[in-house]
Amino acid sequence: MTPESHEASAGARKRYRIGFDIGGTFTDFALHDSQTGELHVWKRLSTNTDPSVGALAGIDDLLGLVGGSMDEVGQVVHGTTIGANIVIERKGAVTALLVTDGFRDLLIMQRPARYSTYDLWFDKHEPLIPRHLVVPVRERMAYDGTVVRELDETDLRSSLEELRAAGIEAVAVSLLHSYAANDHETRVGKLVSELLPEASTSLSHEVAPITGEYERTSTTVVNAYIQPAFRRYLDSLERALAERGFTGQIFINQGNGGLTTPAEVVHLPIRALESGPAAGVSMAAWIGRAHGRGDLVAFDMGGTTAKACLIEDGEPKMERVFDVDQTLMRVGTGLPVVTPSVDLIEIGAGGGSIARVGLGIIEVGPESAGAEPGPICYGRGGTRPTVTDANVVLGYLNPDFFLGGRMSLDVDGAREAIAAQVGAPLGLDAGEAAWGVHEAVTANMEHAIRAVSIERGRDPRDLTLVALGGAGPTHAARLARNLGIGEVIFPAAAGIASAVGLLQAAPRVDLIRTFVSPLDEPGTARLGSELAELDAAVNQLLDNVTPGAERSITYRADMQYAGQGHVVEVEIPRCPTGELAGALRERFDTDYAAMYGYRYPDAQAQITSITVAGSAAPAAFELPPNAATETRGRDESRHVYFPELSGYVRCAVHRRDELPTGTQVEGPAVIEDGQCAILLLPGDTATVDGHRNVLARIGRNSAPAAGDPTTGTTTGRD
Amino acid sequence: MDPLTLGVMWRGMVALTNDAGTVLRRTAYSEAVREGRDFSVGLFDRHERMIVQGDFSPGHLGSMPSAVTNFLRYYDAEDLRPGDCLILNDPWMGSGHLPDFFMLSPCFVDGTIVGYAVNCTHMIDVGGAAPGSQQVEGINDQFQEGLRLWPTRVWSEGQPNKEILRIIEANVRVPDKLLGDLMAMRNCNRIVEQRLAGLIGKYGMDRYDAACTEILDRSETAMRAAISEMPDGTYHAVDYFDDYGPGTEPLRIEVTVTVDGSSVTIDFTGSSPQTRSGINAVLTYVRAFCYYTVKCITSGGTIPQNGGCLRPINYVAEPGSVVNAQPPAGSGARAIMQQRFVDVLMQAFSEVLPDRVIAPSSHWANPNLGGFDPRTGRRFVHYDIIIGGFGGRPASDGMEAAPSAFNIDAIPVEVNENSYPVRVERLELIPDSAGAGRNRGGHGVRKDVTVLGESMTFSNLTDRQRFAPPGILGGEAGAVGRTVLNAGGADPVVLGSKGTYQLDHGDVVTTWLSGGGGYGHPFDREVERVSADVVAGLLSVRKAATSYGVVLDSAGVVDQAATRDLRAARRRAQR
Repeated sequence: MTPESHEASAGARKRYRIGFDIGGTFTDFALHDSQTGELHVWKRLSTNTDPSVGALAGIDDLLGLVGGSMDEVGQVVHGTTIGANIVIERKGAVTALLVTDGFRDLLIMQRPARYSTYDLWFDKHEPLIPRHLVVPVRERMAYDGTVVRELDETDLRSSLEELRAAGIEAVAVSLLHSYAANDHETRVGKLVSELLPEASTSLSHEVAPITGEYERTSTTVVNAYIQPAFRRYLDSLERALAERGFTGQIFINQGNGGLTTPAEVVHLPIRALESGPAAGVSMAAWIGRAHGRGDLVAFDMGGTTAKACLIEDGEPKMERVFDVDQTLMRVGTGLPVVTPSVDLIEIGAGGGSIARVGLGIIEVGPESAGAEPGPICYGRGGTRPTVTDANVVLGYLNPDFFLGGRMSLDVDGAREAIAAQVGAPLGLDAGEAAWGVHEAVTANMEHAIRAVSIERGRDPRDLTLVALGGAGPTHAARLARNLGIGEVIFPAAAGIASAVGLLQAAPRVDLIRTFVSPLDEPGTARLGSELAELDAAVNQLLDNVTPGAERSITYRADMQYAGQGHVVEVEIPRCPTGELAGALRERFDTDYAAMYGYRYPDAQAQITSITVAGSAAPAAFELPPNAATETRGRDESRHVYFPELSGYVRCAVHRRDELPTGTQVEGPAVIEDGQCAILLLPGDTATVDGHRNVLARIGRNSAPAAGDPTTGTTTGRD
Repeated sequence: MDPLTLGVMWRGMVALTNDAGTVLRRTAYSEAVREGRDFSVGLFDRHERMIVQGDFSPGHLGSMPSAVTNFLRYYDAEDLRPGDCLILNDPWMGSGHLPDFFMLSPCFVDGTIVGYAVNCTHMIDVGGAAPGSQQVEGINDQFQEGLRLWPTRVWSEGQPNKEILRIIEANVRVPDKLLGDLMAMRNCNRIVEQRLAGLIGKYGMDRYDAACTEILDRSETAMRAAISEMPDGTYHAVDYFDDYGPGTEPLRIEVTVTVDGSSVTIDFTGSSPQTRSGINAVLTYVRAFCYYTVKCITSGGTIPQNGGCLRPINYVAEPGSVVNAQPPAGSGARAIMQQRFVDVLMQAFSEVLPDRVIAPSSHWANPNLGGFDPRTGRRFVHYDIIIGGFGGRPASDGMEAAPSAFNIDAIPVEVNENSYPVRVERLELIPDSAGAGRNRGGHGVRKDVTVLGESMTFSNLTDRQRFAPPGILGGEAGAVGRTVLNAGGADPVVLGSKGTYQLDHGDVVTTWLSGGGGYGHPFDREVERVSADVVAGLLSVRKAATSYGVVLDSAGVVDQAATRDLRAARRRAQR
């Protein structure tokens, strides 16, 4: 337990709470003032050599802005990608791996599948541990946990003695079938602590007790590799905050969208490998709940990528594996890490994505102009047209009010480049070509969202889209229309959703374990005791984060028809043991049929793994009230492109902070704020609510535009 | 057609076939589909033209159009109804061996056929001589290889034809898997039908028809443009299979490639005659890998897959040769041939496109083990997959443990030990097996498997145990592979790469795969990279000297002067 968790209640009583999310380019901040209800947001460039420097400077800026002091801050909630960055930049600890003899090349061999059948130039990722630091251990367990070969401790001792000279800072241990019996792994761990006492140790049955040797080993290796640097980073952050007079509580956001303490996250840092994006999803779930909407798609489009996550009944969908350090954003090209995480589909479709012509049609991304040089319209040396350039040419973005006017955009440069590089080869003028770029990138996102929803057996037409990120609100209405989605929420502060999301995230723990069993009587009895064990562990971990807090706990099982390889996650109902098998079977059959169209009543069903998730209540948080009293009579308009109106038309332009509660806006219209521009199409109707959120009813497509609810996608995750 | 509408429709059609493939893979029962990814999904228009094929197994590339033609020779389009599913697996109608099942479903809009959903799926066992239906030795003709189906309606307006399914069930070893996979194939085609109907509903038949034609023409144009960039001329290569069963002779694969403007002709004249074994290729199968290779070395993934891309490539192969086998030749084990087709073409193209080819790769192994699992008393077929490294590449070493002629995944050892009565004792790279070169090949892989049951049938299936993967452009060959029974015991027995054997409890089969060939002269390899392989324990000090002319110690510390002298002396000697 950490000292600061004792002060949770004291911390919560203080005036301010701060959320900050460190991204690759920007660090975003949100400060909530519990006395006034105000929300203050801030953005500054990340300091990549030591991210805490920029974070602390930003907190100082923000407190300066509100005239507050550090000792009035009750909680700091931190979202971070530092874990992923350590892996991507290969800046982790000198790590050794101990594996069962005969499997030394696991990290080099990985899985045989290639991400693209016709690309022979691709390479697998470079292992985090070089081969000479991978040490075979003489031992062997069988699949059922029986010992095939006794652990040879003498041999292991001499191997570890040899490692002493190598300056090892961390050790990963991953023995075959350790999820079934961990005796050998535990003994190896003890010997490591004895002979290499300075090294931190990660044991695979503790880090990821699941079947599948490569995925479990990879997860354990990533954990070991990032652990020392992660600990140093959090120590220095805690120290620096304390030096500034901070006496409140620090929370770290995890990949599952829930909070934990620094002490917990240092033990298993893979849980917070990449937690910024998850906070955006939490924000979407929260805003949906506030509007009585449980079934949502969180759609977050930034500079280089677009991310989508399905939220059902207020709960973001979780994925058990994600891979870090991907190539070209292809799922499966990175290092697999098994830890329950928010299921984000990410594609290379952001404002900076580059457009080009191939085979006589327009293609966009995944190549991105990034922040440097950025889109042509930034005037910083970019020469290839991007999505942002197209949006400026189309009139969707205001060249004089970009980032609230802090940056002016070169519309002519963007128009010329789009006309020359996209329009000329296809015989289109600049407007048509820009529209083609906008439409193509929107179609890419449409296919990705369809993958998220249809894979889960959901018809997108039943969902509400939540538009987040700097570019999301500009594409959301078109995207929704193409998917047949009838409603879009444009939250206030959508442009820095992750930082705001941190302020309403709740402590959460997810534990997963391999558990293979048919749905028979002994199986369900064993299931009950395994769940009870995990339940106790989850409660203990939650107590470490927030002692005694109210919590809700859910049980889930991965199930399959015996003989199939793919699993479907099913919630385990709370019912008497005698009825459990029947109830589980019914849920599984129903979910399976919803996803794949058929159920197989004659086939046997089985469980392959179980997850127990527990979360405490989030801190009280509300977006600030809408302060606009009456429209300031701004009668602004500009030329904006709508293909359904045959091109450029004069279109009303509003400022979000000038629209009073209850204002109705009819599309076509643009609503701007300092971070993003909402585009409404002809036929859309939007209402501004008491917290400056914009809720839009989306009109139907009259003419074919980009795609159709019944077309599919290429970005499905397996 | 306006480029914006075309783009949207094209993307939509590619997406729907890929999504349908995801459904097939997720609902399949057999490992060949789930992990081996041995399936493909295509969308045909009502004129029987292949508009889109998803990015799946290259082995089915050329064969889908011929399967569709054959389906429609037996069933008139007017007699097809919504919910019908036809299947076939005849090697000459389909993709060249009985395990590949094709399924066609008509797609309807307003009561008329607008296209066809087609998928091809490798079944884990279709009966015949040995578990897995991929036996080589002792096969005289295809009638020993399992159940053969000419076009047959298995679902009629959504209702299964239980009589047909019963015939299938009675003739295969693990009917649960085959019937489960048939259902997965139906699930897949259903997705194609639904999405296509949605697409046409939105854009109308006229635009859909026009888009199909445009897609084919543009793809053909792009393919021709890519071929035009190759220098005209005639290029030649010969490579060999070790044998076609224990005690048989090598098989010669000869190829002459003629590039002429925007088309390419691939002529296999000079290759061996067809065999009396399970190793023979039908023409569609060979074509698929010709197309695969041409695509890899020209456009990579940038040109989509459809009938249009196939147009600029011509094939010549003598009927009755092993690359154009005629009925009733056996062909169950032909999957082992694909790597050699790619290898020989890469060697032919290496003369003219040195920067686009890779050296011949390690040869995979695909042994099948079958019998009764003593833990359950149930019959099983274990379709094993062992994959070594790529040959050396123009700008990098051969990738380790990945197939260069196809795309496949493997099942984790822990999962296999749960599912089958086997224990994997070892799965590792083989030091010193990589062909030396400026860019060396990937390594061979060693796998030791202990059998945990009595009276099991083991059909071995691998190659390159006699003819090593050659190096190209000055590179050295990789090490040859071998298969040995009880290698660590008192009485080891060398097994044939294509033999079938009976095994008992405690028997250990060790497979050493060949190493990939090297690319470019080994003396041009940077000393640091040679040293790094020594430090990693993948290259011996001795081979560093003999193959690379690098003098170093076991810690990788290089004696620069001695290395200079050795390389100079050896270069002089080679001249």
